[in-house]
Amino acid sequence: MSGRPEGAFVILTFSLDFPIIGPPALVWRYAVSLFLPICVSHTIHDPGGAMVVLWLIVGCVVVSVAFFLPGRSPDLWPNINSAGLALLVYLIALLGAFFRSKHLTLRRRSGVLAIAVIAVIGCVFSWKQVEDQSRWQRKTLGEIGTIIGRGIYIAMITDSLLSVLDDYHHQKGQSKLSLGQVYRKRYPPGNVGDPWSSIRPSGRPNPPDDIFLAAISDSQVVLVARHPWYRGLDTAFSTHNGPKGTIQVRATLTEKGLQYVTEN
Amino acid sequence: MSQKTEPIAADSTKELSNEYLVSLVVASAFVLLLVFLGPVLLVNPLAVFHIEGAGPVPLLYPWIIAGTQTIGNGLTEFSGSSLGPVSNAMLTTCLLSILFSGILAPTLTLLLMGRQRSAVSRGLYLVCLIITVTLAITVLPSGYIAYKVRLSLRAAQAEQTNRDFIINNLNTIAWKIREYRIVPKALGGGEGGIDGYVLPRSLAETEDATYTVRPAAPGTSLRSVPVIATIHAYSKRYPGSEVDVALRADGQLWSWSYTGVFQ
Repeated sequence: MSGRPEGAFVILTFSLDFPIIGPPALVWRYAVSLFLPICVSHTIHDPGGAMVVLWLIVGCVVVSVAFFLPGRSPDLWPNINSAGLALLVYLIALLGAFFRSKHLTLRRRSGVLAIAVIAVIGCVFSWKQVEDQSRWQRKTLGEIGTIIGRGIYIAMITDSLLSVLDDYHHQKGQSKLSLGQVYRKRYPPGNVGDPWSSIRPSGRPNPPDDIFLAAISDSQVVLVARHPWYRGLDTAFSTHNGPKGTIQVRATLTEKGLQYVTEN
Repeated sequence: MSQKTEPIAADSTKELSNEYLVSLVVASAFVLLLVFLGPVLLVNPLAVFHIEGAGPVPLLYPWIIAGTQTIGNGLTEFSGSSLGPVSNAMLTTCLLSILFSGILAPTLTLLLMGRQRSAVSRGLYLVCLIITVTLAITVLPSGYIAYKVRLSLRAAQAEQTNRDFIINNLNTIAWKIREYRIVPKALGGGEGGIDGYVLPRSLAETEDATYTVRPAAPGTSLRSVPVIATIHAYSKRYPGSEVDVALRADGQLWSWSYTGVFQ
């Protein structure tokens, strides 16, 4: 919404100005802004106008109360679902009042009933489609993040530990360093609990804070990685120094090779 | 079409009467309020996705606003930011959308239909009638389009997920082969080669695909890069869809190729 008329009259004129863009749209919206107050004033003073206004006030109040009843959350669905139910009740009552009116022909009643039924069925169908789809897309985004996170850990951890294993098995000379010593030599200082960001020199463009040296000895090196936000298998899983329920993997390097375990 | 009409009271629509002026001032104040506070009170949900010139179409349907908010929440979570409660502007926009398309337009349309009206309020009736009929006519095709989009998105995502799992598994196979080459024969490794390497059953077949490793003849190179093996993945979920990749001597995967739905 770039300008004031865009911001304000988009609500009031939205269904009429689909094809209008640019300056004509502004002219249209300004015209409506002058036209609407006059129309409303006339309508109120028309016969039955007071009843129309009463219906509008009751409808707006009932739907607004229902809208705010679920409270505020990150999602709008609880609010609009609650308002939607209230709206359905209101529309049924409104149609009841409409059909009780004596000045309507049978043809007009039938036409309105048909359009109303189609519109309500269409709205409910479309509403549920979008709700289901948007929830699915949100969930899928989380799953994509999890796949990416796991892929990054596989690439980074296995590459770094297999480099240590390679160094260990291809040592030259008489005195051979232990596995822990080789790790410390490659990724100093190698203290238990250190995140990878503390490795100096890292040799990595952006060492992450979420991979930790969990244990180190002459015969094994254990790394634990936990993601700060990508969700893992169990939402209640307590991660290593991190939030609950996120991805966690554990890699244990021995002279026989690497054990890579997905813990969450 | 003959119909009974209610008579217009002679004094009730008299222009410039006190009641008329009061209602005109109140309605004008409301419109001016929207003009000047509109950008603060309302928000175009499509602005979340920076869709310029998308217009007010989504405001016709409040569920599109809610859907946009939910997808926006997914993107926020994806980027690691924490979610807060929905903004006042979004709440106001959504509520106004419901009130406008669900209350105002249908109520004025139904209650003014068939009544004799003053010429000016006939215009308001016409506007509301067009909005209501537009909503009624467009909601079914839009629901059907949403249904088709939903199906195609799910199908595309299922293919992509299968492909992603296969790529992750290929990376796992690659590091297992690299590990095998590093470890001495005395410890069960290949000591520089991959002769005798057998893909573990847990890696050879998963619920997504089956995998085979073919050692390359010594000196084999692919586009001038020496390779030690090729790995093939055959999707179980999408028969005919495969991923082929070569394994370089340094353990990196090289020259990915995809067939079937993975292309």
